[in-house]
Amino acid sequence: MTMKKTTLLLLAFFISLNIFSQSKVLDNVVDIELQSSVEIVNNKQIVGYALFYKIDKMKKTALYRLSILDENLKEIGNNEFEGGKDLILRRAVYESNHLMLSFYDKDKTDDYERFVKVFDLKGKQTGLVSYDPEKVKKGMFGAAIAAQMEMIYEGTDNVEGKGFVTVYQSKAKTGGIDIQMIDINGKLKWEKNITADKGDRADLYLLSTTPNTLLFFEMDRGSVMARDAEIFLVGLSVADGKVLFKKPMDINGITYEPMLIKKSSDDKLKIVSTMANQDAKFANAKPIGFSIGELNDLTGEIKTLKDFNYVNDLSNVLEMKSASKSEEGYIKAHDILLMKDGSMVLVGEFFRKTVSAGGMAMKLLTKGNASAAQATIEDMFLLRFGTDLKAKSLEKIEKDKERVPMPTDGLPIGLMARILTYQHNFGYMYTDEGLDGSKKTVLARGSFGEEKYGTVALTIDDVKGYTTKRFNLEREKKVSYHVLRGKPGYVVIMKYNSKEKQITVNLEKVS
Amino acid sequence: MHFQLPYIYAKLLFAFCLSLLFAHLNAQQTTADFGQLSSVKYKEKIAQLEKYTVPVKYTEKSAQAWYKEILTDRNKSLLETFKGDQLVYDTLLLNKCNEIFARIKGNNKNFNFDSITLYINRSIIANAACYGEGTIMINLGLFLWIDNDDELAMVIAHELAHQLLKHTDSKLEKSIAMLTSDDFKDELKKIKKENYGKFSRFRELMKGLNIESGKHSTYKESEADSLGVVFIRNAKYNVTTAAKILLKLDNADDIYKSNKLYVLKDFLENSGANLSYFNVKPKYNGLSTIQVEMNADKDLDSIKTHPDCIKRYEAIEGKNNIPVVTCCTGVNNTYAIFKEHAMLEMVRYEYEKNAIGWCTHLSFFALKNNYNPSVYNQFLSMCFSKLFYEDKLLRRFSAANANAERESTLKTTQDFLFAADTKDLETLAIYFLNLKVDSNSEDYAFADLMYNTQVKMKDATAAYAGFLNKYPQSKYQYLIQKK
Repeated sequence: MTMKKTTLLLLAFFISLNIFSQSKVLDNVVDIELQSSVEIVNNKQIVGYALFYKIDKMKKTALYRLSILDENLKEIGNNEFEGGKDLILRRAVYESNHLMLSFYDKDKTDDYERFVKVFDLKGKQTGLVSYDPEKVKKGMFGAAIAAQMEMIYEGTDNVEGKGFVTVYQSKAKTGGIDIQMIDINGKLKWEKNITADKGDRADLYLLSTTPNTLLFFEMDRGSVMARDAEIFLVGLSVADGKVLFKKPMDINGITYEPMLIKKSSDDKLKIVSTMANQDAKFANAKPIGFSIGELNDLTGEIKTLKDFNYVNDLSNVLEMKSASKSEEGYIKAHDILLMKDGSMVLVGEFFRKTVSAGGMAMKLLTKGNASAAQATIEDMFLLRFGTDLKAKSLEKIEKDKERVPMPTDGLPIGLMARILTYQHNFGYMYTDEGLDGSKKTVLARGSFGEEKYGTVALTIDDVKGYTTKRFNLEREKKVSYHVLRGKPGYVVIMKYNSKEKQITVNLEKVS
Repeated sequence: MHFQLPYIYAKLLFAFCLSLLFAHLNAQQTTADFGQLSSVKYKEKIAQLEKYTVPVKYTEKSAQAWYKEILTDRNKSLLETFKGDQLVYDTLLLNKCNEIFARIKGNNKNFNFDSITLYINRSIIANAACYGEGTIMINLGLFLWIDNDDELAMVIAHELAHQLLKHTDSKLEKSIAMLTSDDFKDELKKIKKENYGKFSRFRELMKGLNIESGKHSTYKESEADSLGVVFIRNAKYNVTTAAKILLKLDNADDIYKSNKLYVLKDFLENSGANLSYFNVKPKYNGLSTIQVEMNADKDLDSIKTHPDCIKRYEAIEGKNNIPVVTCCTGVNNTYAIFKEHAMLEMVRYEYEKNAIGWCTHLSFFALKNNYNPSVYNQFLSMCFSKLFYEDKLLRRFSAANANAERESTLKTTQDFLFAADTKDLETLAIYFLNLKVDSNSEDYAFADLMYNTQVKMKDATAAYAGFLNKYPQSKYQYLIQKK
C-alpha cells in the first residue's frame, strides 16, 4: 500500500482552510474501478446497489471499499475494510434498515471461504456469519453438473421483518444445502442442513420467503444417473428451521415443478409450476403445460386455480404437434405477469433441439466423442389469459435464432431448458413490475427484427400488444457495457473503460 | 428650513442617482449577461500558478518533502479551478466584494492586506473559502443569502482574518510536525511490517490527526470571527446586522433540503404535459425513502459540517434575542440585483455542466421568487431540450440526477425528470420557450436553436452557422464551441 498517498488523501480533508468547508462539484455519475457490484434486493425488488471494489493491494490482503447506493445511485453509506486478495461480493439483500452482503474468498484469508456481513445503511458493520462446510454430512460421490451450477443452489433472501436467509450448496457434494437464518443485526439464529431422504442426490434451492416460511424446491434422486425422481415443495419455519411441510409435487400422474412464487395484487401467494408427465420426469421430461395455484405458506396446501395443458388449453392460439411441442418449437415459460385487472400474460420463448453441422463434423472426426446437439432459441411470445383463465391470444415477438451447443447428445428437453436457463442463453432476462405495478416490462437480449443484437425492453400493454425500447450502446475502443437490473422502471447500464479502469453507472428508463 | 433644503436636495439627488444606477442594472438584467470565465480572464494568474515552485521552508528532508507534496497538490487543485472555468469574472459581484474589501482595508491600516485577491467561485454552495497565499473565493451561492453590505462584509472579513492570522500555514506546519514526529514514524514503521490489519491501524493513527485538526479548526473559526468583527467594526459596518449572516447560513441547506421551495405541478399545469405522474402513489420503496441520519454522500457539501453557526452568532451578539431569519427566497430588496446576477451565473453553470436536475431546480426556484421570468423560462426550455437529447443517448439519468435529499422539493423535480415521458420533455421544451421569452432576443434564438437541434434533430452544423451568422459576437458562442 502506498502509505504516503493515503496519508495525503486523508490530509486533504483538513489542510484546506475555509470558513465553511470547500465546495465540491456535484458529480452525478459513479466512476470507480469496480471489482464487483450487485443489486440490493428486497422482496424481489431492487431497492439500491452495493458497489464493492478494491482500493489498494497489500502483501496478502487487499483494501476494499463498500459503497451503498440508494435506488437513484446516491451514496448513503460506505465502509472500508481489509479482506482477502480476491474477495468477491456475490449478493446483497435489504431488510429493516440493514443489508446483508454475501462474500466469497477463495483464499480463505480468515479461515472461511464463504461468509455474510450485515451492515446498517450508513455502512457500519453489525454482524458477520461464516459458513463452515465441515458441518455438512459427507456423501458418497459428487454431482458434476451441480458443482458447476453452484450459483443456482446458493441463494440469499430477506425475510420480511425477521432478517435474512442464506443458502449454501454443500461442499461435500451430497447435493444437500446448508441454510442459515440470520437476524436483522447479523446474529445467527439457526443453521440447518438438508440432504436427500434417500439416495445420494438432491437438487435443492430457495424459491422464496414469507414472514413465516422459507420455501424450497427439492428433487430427490436415487443416484446421479437415476431416471426417476421425486419432487417436493419444502417449507421451513422462519422461527426455528423446523420443517413445516414437505409437500410432494407428484399429483395424479403429473409432476409439478415450482417455477415461481409471488404475491398477486390481491395479496395472495401464487405459485406457478411447470407440468410434466410423472413417469417421464428428469430423464426425458418434457413440459406439457403449467399450473397456477394459491399457496398456504403455513401448511403447504395448494389450491389449484388452473392447470394449463398446452394441447387442450392453448389450441385456440397455438398449434401443437404433440403434448409438449408446438409448431413453433418447445415452450419455455419464463414468467407469468399478473395484470391489474386479474388477467395474466405468460412470457415465454420457443426453442428446438437441433443438430449442429460443425458439431456433426467434429463428431465424425472424433469418432463419436464430440456432441452434435445444439439448442436453437427462437421467438419470444406473450400468451394472454383472460380473467376467466382462458387463453385469449398469442403474440409473437420475432427475433433472430440463436444456437447454443449442448454438452452431450440425447439430453432430455426438460434438462436442456434448465441448462439454457442457468446459462442465461434465453433472450429473456427479467421482468420489471414497474413503480406502481401498472407497467410491466420484460427485459430481453437478442436481435429483434432488423436490429442488431442488443438489449430491448418490451413494455406489455394491459390489453394487447407491447412497445419496445432498444438500448443502443455505442461501440468504443476498450469500452464494454453491461446491462443490469435496475429499480422498477429502469435498467442499470454499466460502462467499463478498461483503459481508464473506470466504471460509469447509469440508470435508464425501460419504457 | 435654511439648513434643510440642501439636505433634501442632496437626498433627492442621491435617490435619483441610485434609481438611475438600479435602472441601468435592471436594464442589464432583461437579457442574460454572462461574466467572463476564469480560463480567459485569469490568464496571468494561471501562468503564475503554472510556474509555481514550492519554497524551501524546512531543513529537515522529510518535512520539506511533505511540505512540497502538500503545497504542490494544493497548487494543482487551484490551477484546475482556474483552468477549468470554475471561477467567473462577474464585474457586478466582484466590484461589490472589492468595494467592501477596500473599505475594510482602508479602515484597518495596521494590517497588511496587499497580497490578497478576491475571486468569485461558480459553486452553488453558500460558502466562501481562504485557500492560503492570498487567494480568497466567494461562492455564487452565498449571494442568494446576502441582503446587505454588512452581511457580505462579515463573510469577507472572516476570510481576510483567516489569511492574516496565517491559519492555513499554521495548520500545515502543525500537520507536518506531527507527520515527521518520531512517534508517528515509529507507528508507521510498525504498521508497514504487519501482514494483516494494516489499514485499520493506519486509519486509527490518522484519526488522531483528524481530531486534532477538528479542535483546532473550531478554535480558528472563532478566532477569525473575532478579528473579522474588529475589521468590520473599524470599517463602520453594523455588526448586529452583519452577524445575521451566520444565522442564515445555518439554514443554507434549504436550497437542496427544503420541501417548501415551490410546487412543481403549479409550473407545469398549463404546459400540456402529462401530469398523472403526480397522482401516482408508488408501491415501491427504495433506499432513498429511508432516513439515514448521516448522509455519507460527500459530493454535496453542507454548511452544517462547520462549527455551529448559532454558537458563533451568540459569541458575537450574545445569547438573547436571536432573531428568526427567513432567507434565500426574497429578491425584492436592495440586494436583488446581486442575487439576480448570482442566480443567472449559477443556472448557466449548471446548464454548462450538464447538471440539468440542478439547472431546472434553480430555474423553478428563481421563477417562484420573482427573478426575471424571461431568463428562467429560457433556461427551462433549454434544460428540457437537453434532457430530451440526453435521453436519446441513454444519459438522462446522469443529467437529471441531483443527489436530492428525500422529501425535498429538489427530489420532486429530480424524480419528475427521471420519470417524465420523452414526449413530455419535448412538450415542456416548447412550452417554456414560448412562455415570456422575448422572441426577438438572442436568448430566445439560442433556446430555439437548442430545441431544433436537440429535439427536432435538425442539422446542427448548419443551424449553428445560421445562429452565429446572425449573432457573430454571441455570448453563447463558447457553448457551441464546446459542442
